[in-house]
Amino acid sequence: MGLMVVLEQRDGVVRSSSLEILSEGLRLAASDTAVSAIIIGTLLEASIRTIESYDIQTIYLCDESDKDYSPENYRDFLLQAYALELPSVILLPGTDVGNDMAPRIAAHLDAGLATDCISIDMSDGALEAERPIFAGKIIQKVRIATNPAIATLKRNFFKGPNFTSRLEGKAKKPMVKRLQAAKETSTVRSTLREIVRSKRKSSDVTGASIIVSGGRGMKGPENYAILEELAAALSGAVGASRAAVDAGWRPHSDQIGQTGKTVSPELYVACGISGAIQHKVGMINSKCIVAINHDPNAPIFKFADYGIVGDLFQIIPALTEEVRKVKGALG
Amino acid sequence: MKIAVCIRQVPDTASSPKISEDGTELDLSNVQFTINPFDEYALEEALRIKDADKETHLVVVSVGDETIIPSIKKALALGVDEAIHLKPRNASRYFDPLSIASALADELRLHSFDLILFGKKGVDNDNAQTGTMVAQLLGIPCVPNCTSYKLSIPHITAFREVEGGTEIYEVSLPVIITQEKGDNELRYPSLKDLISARRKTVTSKVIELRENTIKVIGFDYPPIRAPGRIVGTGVEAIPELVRLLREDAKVL
Ligand SMILES: Cc1cc2nc3c(=O)[nH]c(=O)nc-3n(C[C@H](O)[C@H](O)[C@H](O)COP(=O)(O)OP(=O)(O)OC[C@H]3O[C@@H](n4cnc5c(N)ncnc54)[C@H](O)[C@@H]3O)c2cc1C
Ligand SMILES: Nc1ncnc2c1ncn2[C@@H]1O[C@H](COP(=O)(O)O)[C@@H](O)[C@H]1O
Repeated sequence: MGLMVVLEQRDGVVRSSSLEILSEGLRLAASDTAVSAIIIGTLLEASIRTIESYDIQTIYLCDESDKDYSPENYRDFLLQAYALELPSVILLPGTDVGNDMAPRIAAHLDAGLATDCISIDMSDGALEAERPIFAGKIIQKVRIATNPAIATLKRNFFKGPNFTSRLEGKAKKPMVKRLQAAKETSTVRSTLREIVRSKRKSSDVTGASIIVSGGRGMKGPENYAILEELAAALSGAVGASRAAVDAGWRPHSDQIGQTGKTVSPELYVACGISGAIQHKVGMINSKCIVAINHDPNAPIFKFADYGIVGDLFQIIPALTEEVRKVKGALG
Repeated sequence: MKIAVCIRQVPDTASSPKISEDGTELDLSNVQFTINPFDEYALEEALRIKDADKETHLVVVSVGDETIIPSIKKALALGVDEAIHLKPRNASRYFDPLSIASALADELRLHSFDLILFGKKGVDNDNAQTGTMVAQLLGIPCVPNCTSYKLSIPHITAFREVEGGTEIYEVSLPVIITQEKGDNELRYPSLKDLISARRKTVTSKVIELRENTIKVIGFDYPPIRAPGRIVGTGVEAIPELVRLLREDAKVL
């Protein structure tokens, strides 16, 4: 039995969500299972450096610098590495790339796949996992009955110890193998023509550790300026409820909730949001929730850690001031 | 142009499923069912293509027992031409995505659809797998999580929402798109539509589902959050809030 982790890199650095699954993979593998890793991309030499000290047996490098990105190429690299290693467990990050790749390889390998797992373990030789369903209202426990078993791991849930060196300094350097893309790429492929990066000043809500979110109570798109300022003072991102997105005030990529993003930041500040169940499920795993609403009976106060009852148009600018003052004093 | 939309029926998003005493089953007896929201978005996109080109033939395909008929009828009332209802013989409470995907692929293979649409995920099991798997089984390309796309036959330009931006793909037909929520508003059927939908064809087929690759062992509720509190009213409450965030919650 072997275990393979699929790692994502950006600009030569292995992403933190990938380090989470690498650590979890090493924990799961314990001492009797070989762990291999696969990295696809362009700045591969730099990426190896970020994981060299982990106790990985083999790192497969898939150079796609001479190709346009295509998910089908990426998938074919994963299948190539799989065929060389034949691991019984494959772990992928619960990111856009991981969640796109996992069903592709699962269908090709005729393997069971559990997506967005929040815990995994081996039991009687099979992979068992817990994963939120119904947007987190229920936790489902599953057993993957196939070999290989495939799982994607939800971000921010595996922050365990870094298994930098399982052998206490004795870890050998990983063996590095390079894989070449098949010369004849299939005509059945989608070609990435362009990536349009969001032009916004504040960062993306996925992965932000502080989110300031505005709902229908913001009254109009122009008023998000005060939220942008609060977010800037907190070094956070700005999110929105569906009511605000449907009104056309904010793009869908900012929507938090069941038909938007699921987030779990350190701090979530909900402004002019009533706290409907479909919104709640997208943010309830935030470490700390603050609600600002002028209706003391708003459902959001039932699950917010701290609430302020009042007019957000007075409270938000004053809160921004206070945050600046406090942060200034802390230097 | 032939378009298929694969639809699933799910408990209403406002509902809260209960877990059975022994923790092995979900009690959905008091739950209202609807078409999966992302499938509704996919349907809407397909209906818009049909609005613009009346020649378009639009089919919905669904795997499930008799209880999904109302969802199929709703799709027909919205303007879908025809429905294929695949009824598993070996009915069990849980079907994993690969077994559903195999059943759908077997049916879709018999037709020649140019465009096959899925929701990006079912809001019940949150799998987000089926559409992408069907594409692999059929050997056609797939662009997941698209907010919108533009047809210029025989190609399609698809806009996929990713962290921090949008990826724009160019693909030739046939293709599978899994639908993310876009900008388009949904339409609702009128009473007249509902009545005329009765005349449309629903083809029922009994099928054999392959064995599940995933077994459900049980269910649990997530941990309950400790109750919070109202810090105060108006701007006067701000200094205390900031103190709590720093000293108690330690998030500032
Ligand atoms: C299938 C489905 C999927 C859905 N998915 C999502 C989703 O992903 N995300 C989502 O958010 N919703 C979703 N919804 C919608 C959800 O049910 C609610 O309608 C929505 O969350 C309401 O948004 P809101 O809180 O901004 O607006 P409202 O419910 O209108 O609340 C506005 C709040 O602002 C307060 N307010 C107004 N003015 C002020 C002021 N000056 N100062 C302070 N407070 C003020 C009001 O007291 C009120 O509580 C979904 C619904 C369905 C049916
Ligand atoms: N039983 C089913 N019948 C038809 N389509 C389905 C079924 N289950 C899932 N789908 C489709 O696959 C999408 C993704 O579902 P899932 O992979 O379960 O999250 C749904 O939005 C539907 O479009």
